[in-house]
Amino acid sequence: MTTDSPPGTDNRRAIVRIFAHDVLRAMSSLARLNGGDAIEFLTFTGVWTLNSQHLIGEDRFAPLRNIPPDAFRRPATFEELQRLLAIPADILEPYVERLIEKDIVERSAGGGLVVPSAVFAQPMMLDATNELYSRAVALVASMRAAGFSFGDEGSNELDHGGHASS
Amino acid sequence: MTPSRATDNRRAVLRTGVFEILKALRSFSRLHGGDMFALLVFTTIWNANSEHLIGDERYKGIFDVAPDSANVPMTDDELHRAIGAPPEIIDGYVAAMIEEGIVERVPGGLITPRPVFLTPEMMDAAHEFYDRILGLVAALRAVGFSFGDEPMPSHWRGPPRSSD
Repeated sequence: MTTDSPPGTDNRRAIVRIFAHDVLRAMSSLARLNGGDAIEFLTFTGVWTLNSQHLIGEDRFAPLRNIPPDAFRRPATFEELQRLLAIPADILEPYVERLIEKDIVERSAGGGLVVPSAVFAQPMMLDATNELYSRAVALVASMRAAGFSFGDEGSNELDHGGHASS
Repeated sequence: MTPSRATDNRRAVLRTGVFEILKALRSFSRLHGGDMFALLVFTTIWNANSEHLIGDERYKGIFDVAPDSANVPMTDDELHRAIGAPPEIIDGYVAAMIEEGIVERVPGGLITPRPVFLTPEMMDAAHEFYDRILGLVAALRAVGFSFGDEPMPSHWRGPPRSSD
């Protein structure tokens, strides 16, 4: 565990800059699974996240290859997806239909949206999952290099007061 | 919590991380009328403007907003390539942001001007962004992701090799 900057040092904008940069790079790279289109990637990610958010904390489905079966996925309504993604319905709807046409998303018997387990078992999806994990590890290294402490000493906590410098 | 080297918690880590990031994006979209795609366009522009400032000690504090002269403009082509969505959708958002004054067209491309980041709403958002990073760290730690200096997990294959 390292603390590369003294407690109280304000490096928050640097950390925010690094984090935003790395998340955008990851999104841009992984959007290749969706023809390079960030909206399609967000739509796909939104559906599977809604399908599986109740599984956070489930040890059975923690390893990379333990893909939850379809029976464990909770179908998402279009309204839930739109609330999560906050993308206008007239933009989002054609993307949902496109994903259904590509068999990446299915409609459940009740009409909800589901990314079936089989999609995640494809080699390119397993590679993408592995890449995302690797990017998370690399992000941790970048943030640590910029002085972010991942320790439990709480030295990342800074007050919200003060004024913008010129 | 530090998992053993052999512990594979990758799917749990990603499920948690992506969920937290989408929650954050949804929250920040309030700055753009509740539209996450607008947030993505805006964030992509400011990120391109300031990517070269990563590691610059002068602009690391939360209140140390870089001057416009330090911004590297992003061309429309670069923006289209970065987002990959149909150009007509992206261009519509850019036009609206220029109209709103949160994006400017300057020689060389698009920038998000410094005063935008000094508004109370944007300063609050910067604080929230940082706090959400702390929250994400806690959430990832809770599902077993290690932030320690011990050797990388045995399944780690090194930094991503894509060309971006």
